[in-house]
Amino acid sequence: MKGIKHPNNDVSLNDSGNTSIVEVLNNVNLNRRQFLMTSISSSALVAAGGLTLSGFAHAVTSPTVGGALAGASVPSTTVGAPTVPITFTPIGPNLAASGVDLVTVPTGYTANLFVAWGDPIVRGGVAFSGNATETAAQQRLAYGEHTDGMHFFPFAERNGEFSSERGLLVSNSEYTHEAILHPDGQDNFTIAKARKSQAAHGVNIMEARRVRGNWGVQRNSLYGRRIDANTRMRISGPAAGHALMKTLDYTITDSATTPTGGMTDGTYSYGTVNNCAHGYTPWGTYLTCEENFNGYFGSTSVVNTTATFSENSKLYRRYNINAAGFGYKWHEVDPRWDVNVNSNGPNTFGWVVEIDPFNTKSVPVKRTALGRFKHESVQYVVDAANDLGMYSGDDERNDYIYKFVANAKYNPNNRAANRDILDNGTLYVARFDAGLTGVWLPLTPGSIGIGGVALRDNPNFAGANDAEVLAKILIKTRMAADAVGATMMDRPEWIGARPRVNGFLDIELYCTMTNNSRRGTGTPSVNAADGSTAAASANPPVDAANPRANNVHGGVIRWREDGRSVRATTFTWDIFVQCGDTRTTKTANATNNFRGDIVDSPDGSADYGAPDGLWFDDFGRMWVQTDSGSGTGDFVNLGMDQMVCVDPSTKETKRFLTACKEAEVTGVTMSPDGKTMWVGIQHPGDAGTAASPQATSSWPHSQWNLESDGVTPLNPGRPRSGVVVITKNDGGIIGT
Amino acid sequence: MKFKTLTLAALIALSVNAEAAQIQSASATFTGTLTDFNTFDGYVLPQNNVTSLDLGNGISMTSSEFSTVGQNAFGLDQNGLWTTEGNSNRDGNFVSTDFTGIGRITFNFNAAMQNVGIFANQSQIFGVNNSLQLFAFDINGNVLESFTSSIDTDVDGYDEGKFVGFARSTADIYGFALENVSSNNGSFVADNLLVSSVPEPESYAMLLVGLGAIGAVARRRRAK
Repeated sequence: MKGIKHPNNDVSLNDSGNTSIVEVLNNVNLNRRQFLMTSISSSALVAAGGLTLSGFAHAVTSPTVGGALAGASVPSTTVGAPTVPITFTPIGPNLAASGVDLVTVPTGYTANLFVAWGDPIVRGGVAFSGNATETAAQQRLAYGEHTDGMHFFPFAERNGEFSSERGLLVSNSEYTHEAILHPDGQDNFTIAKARKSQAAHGVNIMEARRVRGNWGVQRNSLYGRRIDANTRMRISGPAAGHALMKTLDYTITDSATTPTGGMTDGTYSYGTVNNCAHGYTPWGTYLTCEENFNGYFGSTSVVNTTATFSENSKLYRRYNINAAGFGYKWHEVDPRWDVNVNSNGPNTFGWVVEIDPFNTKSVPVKRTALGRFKHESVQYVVDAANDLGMYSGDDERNDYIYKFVANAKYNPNNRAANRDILDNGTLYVARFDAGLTGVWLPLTPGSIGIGGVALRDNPNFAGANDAEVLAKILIKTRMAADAVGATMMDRPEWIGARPRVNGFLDIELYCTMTNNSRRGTGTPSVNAADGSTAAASANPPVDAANPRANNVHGGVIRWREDGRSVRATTFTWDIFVQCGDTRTTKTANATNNFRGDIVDSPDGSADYGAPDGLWFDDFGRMWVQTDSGSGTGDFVNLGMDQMVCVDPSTKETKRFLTACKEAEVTGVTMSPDGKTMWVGIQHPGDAGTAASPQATSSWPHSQWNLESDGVTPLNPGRPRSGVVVITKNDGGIIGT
Repeated sequence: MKFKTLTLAALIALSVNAEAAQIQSASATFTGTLTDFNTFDGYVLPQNNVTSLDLGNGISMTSSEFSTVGQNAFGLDQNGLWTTEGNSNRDGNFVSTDFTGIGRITFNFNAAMQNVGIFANQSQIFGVNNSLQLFAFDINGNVLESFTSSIDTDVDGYDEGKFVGFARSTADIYGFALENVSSNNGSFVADNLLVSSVPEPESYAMLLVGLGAIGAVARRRRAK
């Protein structure tokens, strides 16, 4: 995430990147899908990942190995090559100097606006006014602001297939641009403004449907739903009920947040915020990740962040919670967000939240077993033994990459058996060693930390028993990772899993490292093993996995699990790409020439930097989205943010999409047949003010007068984050 | 007049029942033991060594190809969508089929049933008139009777369908099956299986009321 709260990726201690979704490596169950074998060979199905419950095993309808593809050449037979070729004509950058306020896609493709902030998505919603006069109650029925990660859940339908014309599009609304959210910005801040801001955060559930060729949101769908910063949630897993999870309880209404006089029991909480990227499960639920939750908390009095003052003050320091926050002002009118009033409040955020979009009455669940940090995204992998791994990065400079392994196996034949398997398992953190090997370090009571002390004997995690120790390890995940000596990374963003296609059988994960201005700069320092280092305050030296000093352009690292098992405790790794600008005039340092090693032809034609979103489609192609800002400074030759398509077997990279002005590209998903793609466009016109909201962009109205259904008028008046829907004019698969 | 119409309708329904008849109705036509499938959640049948799934109440289920017991969403093309939301006819999870050819789901009963029915719908694609065939079986698996039913509901609708089944003159049904007639695109959904082994007390009461009403009408006519 960037935008008004994050002037650039390096200014604040708490900035972070963001984006959306990830793809999956599904387990294969040949028994379940034996009927498909008439058209798809068993080996091809295994390779493609197989079919899972509930509708997102796109692989089944993927034109797979050796299949004839409409409008495409014969697929490569190279091991691990995508099953669909990357044959689109790449586009050039949208340079700031000559830029257009348009989302641009290659020749032969059409992009339309699917939904934008303020559009009604819940029954009873009203059309966006254009002047931001909507109330909080109206915002609760409308698409949230600043769209981010998303996933398309197709409906199961005839013949054991999944629909490519109807499903649920579930997306995050990460944060708000307060100057644009309200007619007069944050002036005269009231509880009404806070409520609207809170309602513009969270998760959007929409029914997406293609009618007569045009995609649109079903405005009266019974599935239309918003989950926001005040929605009641259940807390589950090892940390549920712990004393640090018990907060003051409140009655929340439109006009006030009133203390009930009691405390929660630590098994429920209210709301989710800063939902950056996401994930999903093979049993058909959505996972929303709480990233920069710290910025919503503040206080009207001094917040003690002394490392020795209290458990919470130490946590505030490590997670960067302070009196000012990001300037949302919620704490001024809503005591739930004042940490000197509701001191445990922040501990109920920083989790992965599971949502069942198919059940309109489902209660979101915070799964504490996956740890508490600034989750960027979460990517699942089911291996050949049906073991389930969940991979997630902590998007902060110098923070870590994690893996959760469920105790129970994934059951593709009975969804009920999977419902709570995210509550029991082992959380690991990654150590990347020189020599291209790595170790997954378990974060359990018996784990030995630096100095030979088990975590259960570390005062940070001391408890009455191991159950309490584990609860504290999970609530203070960053501090546990500090203790065991995890590798400090260059801001881990999205993680994607490479599909096992064309004979590729490894469990291979890719993670974007968006940048790190503190790497190899300043006086060298590291995160202290006692967990006392303030977030993003260290200046680590370069290391094998983070080899560039002043890493302004970022890159992508990847690792392979040993034994092709998600239960592996060791892995091998390499740096897939270092991003950069082949035309840079920046002065090189000893480890960084700022040019990168992107494989493109001609050289420099697909330069990109600050990679953030990373997602594999089911055909084995990797899509990378950027969060670099407004195309100035170190990114002047790269232009506005963009999305590139990458062949993981050759590293060949082509630019597929460029954003409108001052917008980040974040969030991408596809229909099962690969013929429809949704892409998120976040914070266009980021420099807009309350007095002049369209000072730098009026997107999407700068591009269209109607939404994608070809009927609904598009009101001007504000730049609006939104989701575009992309189709190929000849009806072919996206990217061909 | 209205009263007369209603009671005659009830009497006609009972008379049809007495002759052993098919049921095709907007909603359930009798009361009995209900199986709503809400205790299942995405259970694939058959699986591993399970070919017959115990549904409780002496009822088991088989599926000739893969079905999902406890399905939570299913698209029916031109017939709309089934969801967990439901309505007075059904709600929560249901059964969906993944059939690629002609397939059948069968409910087997430990005891003889007189009335059996289920709320169902099927995939309908534009220009094709798919239909379901329903079967009632005796204790030996022989067909007691069968009929074909085509279900047509709103393309924009949710959770619509038809209650289909059999009402016999005696309790002799040991099996009840639904099968898609067409070999392609014939997937269907079903929920709220209803069975009764004896005529419901309500039915007797309705019969008495109906007879009484007819008597009253006859008396009035005579009075005229």
